[in-house]
Amino acid sequence: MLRVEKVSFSYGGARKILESVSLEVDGGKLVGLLGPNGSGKTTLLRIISKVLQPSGGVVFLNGKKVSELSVRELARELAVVPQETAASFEFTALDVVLMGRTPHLRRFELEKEEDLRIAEECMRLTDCWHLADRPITTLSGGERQRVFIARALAQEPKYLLLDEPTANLDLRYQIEIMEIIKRLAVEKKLVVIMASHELNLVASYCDELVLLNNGRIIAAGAVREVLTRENIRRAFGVDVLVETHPLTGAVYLLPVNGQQHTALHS
Amino acid sequence: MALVINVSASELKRSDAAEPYLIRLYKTKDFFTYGGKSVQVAETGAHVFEGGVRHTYLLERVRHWRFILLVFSLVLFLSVFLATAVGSTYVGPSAILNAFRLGIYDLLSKLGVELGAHAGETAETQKLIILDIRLPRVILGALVGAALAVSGAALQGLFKNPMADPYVIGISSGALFGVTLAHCLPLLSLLAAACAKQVFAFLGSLLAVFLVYNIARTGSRIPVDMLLLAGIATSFLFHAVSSLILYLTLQGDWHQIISWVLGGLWLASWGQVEAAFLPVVICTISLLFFARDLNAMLLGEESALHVGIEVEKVKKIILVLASVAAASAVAVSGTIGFVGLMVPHAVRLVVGPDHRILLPASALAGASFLIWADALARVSSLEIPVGLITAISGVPFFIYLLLRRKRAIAYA
Repeated sequence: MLRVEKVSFSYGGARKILESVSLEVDGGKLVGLLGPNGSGKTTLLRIISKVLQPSGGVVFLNGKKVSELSVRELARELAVVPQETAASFEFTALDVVLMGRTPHLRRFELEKEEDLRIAEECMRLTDCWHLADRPITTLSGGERQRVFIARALAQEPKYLLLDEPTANLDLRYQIEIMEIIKRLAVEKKLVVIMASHELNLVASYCDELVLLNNGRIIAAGAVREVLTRENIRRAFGVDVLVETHPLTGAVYLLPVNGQQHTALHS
Repeated sequence: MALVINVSASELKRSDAAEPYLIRLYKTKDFFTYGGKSVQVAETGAHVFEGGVRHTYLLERVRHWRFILLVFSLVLFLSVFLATAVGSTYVGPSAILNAFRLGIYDLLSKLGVELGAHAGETAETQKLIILDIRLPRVILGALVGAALAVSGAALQGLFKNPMADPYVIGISSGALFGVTLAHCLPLLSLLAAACAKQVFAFLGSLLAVFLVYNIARTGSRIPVDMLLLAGIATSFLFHAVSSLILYLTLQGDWHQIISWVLGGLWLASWGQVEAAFLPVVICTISLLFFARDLNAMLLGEESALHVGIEVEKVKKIILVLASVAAASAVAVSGTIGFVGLMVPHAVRLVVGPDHRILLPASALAGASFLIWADALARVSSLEIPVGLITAISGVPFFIYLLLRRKRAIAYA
């Protein structure tokens, strides 16, 4: 279980990036972290993963304070799929995934059969095992994203954070990645938190949503409770229609642009 | 080159059906080599990486690495041997062997074991040339080359930038500044006698690295252009100050001045070899400790943190080790440039980007490279400073890298 308790953050100035953010996520749940640009989504993920120290509040992983875990201990519990993945040197996809075994290996220890088995399993799970011997620099955005998800899984984490994993991907890859993430949460009983701007995508895959605005949580809970016309207006300052998908029953949003909006109200 | 097998896609999907094919191919040993061939299915054109392959990947990799190290060591060993033949007077291989034999006899007689007849006068002279003049120089060249190359490889990984090198980013000239101070200032020469030039070289290089790091750092990042500019500025500063001090204190001993500033191995002796040996070997081995960390950091520092590497700490340790390695080279040879730039690059093309093989292979290759660059410097009766040779070959290489980068930016 992941628990964030009254976490605040600021870069020293008066402006608070996060203010008293609290949330709790259980294993097997896929949680979407939503909010406009600059609302603090990435900052929250970076605090949970100990890249940043909060100026107030505590993050607990299964009852243990994150600040008291070593970087290595944390890496065995929690993995992160970054938003942008640099790849300027020609490691093969398998090499990259094997790097995920780092927190489990001693300094001079070479990867063993067992590590390779885990890497293979993770790559099959994210459907990229066929890319194993390809240099990472030659992969497309979607392929590379899957390799990095596999790397995170190779750490054998109980917690998985993803920062806009579907950004810059076309519709097919977006759905593919979401299917994989959803499956992981369910099958491996992971706590998965993903920051995203794709409201409709998130609405149809996530179990719960957290909506941030100006560093505060303005709504949290079931998809239907969070994605309301009022909440969206408060967070994003735009008007939307909230509809129900005729086939899946999921919530989806239809933006109402300026002209239509005027027409609607005149 | 892909090997094509005719299996239908439906057969392949059932891995039990595909496995016999793959294992059979694997058994012919024509099936898979690391980073080399892959198997292709004719019908679908999809790459397959299955069954028997998995079990060989790690093994193949270790074998491959061992093979590389063996070849590189062999080349180094031969280079040491052959380069002792090169010089203003030619000494043939049999004479070299003879000299080595006499040297071993000398060692043994010191231990009280008398072997073999007394050598003739020519043999004694040749022994002197080989063992006391050429061999220390060749070995010193090897140590300096290894130190510069391993330092360059580590810096390139650390800064995620193929243009980093102890010379380019100012570490070498910082070390030169330290050596110059130790050598020339009367007040310090007392201290220097106690602490040796090495210590001053370390301090100088650390000062340079501190300056460059802090000038170039923009937030938490070190942009490539800032790093290069800060390095060049620092490099110029320390070079100029060192040259000035040398000029004022050495009173026109040009040979000495040039050997420091341009970099050369004229002053090689067994004493120098002893001075350089430990720091170079210790730093090289210590850097190997951080090979996996460097690998992870190539994919981004935050990303390395996420797999459990204490990036900030590791970064500092690697910087210090790379500086000490380069500084101990500078303390015995002056500033020899571009070895740390070219060698890791060339080696990376052969062995790939994994630092676990890249670092040791670079050290071995750097040693061989500098031995031959110095042999070239010696063979002309003019005694060209070896730093000029490495610069003449290195600068075009540097420009080539810049142009490639330019193209990459233009297309981005």
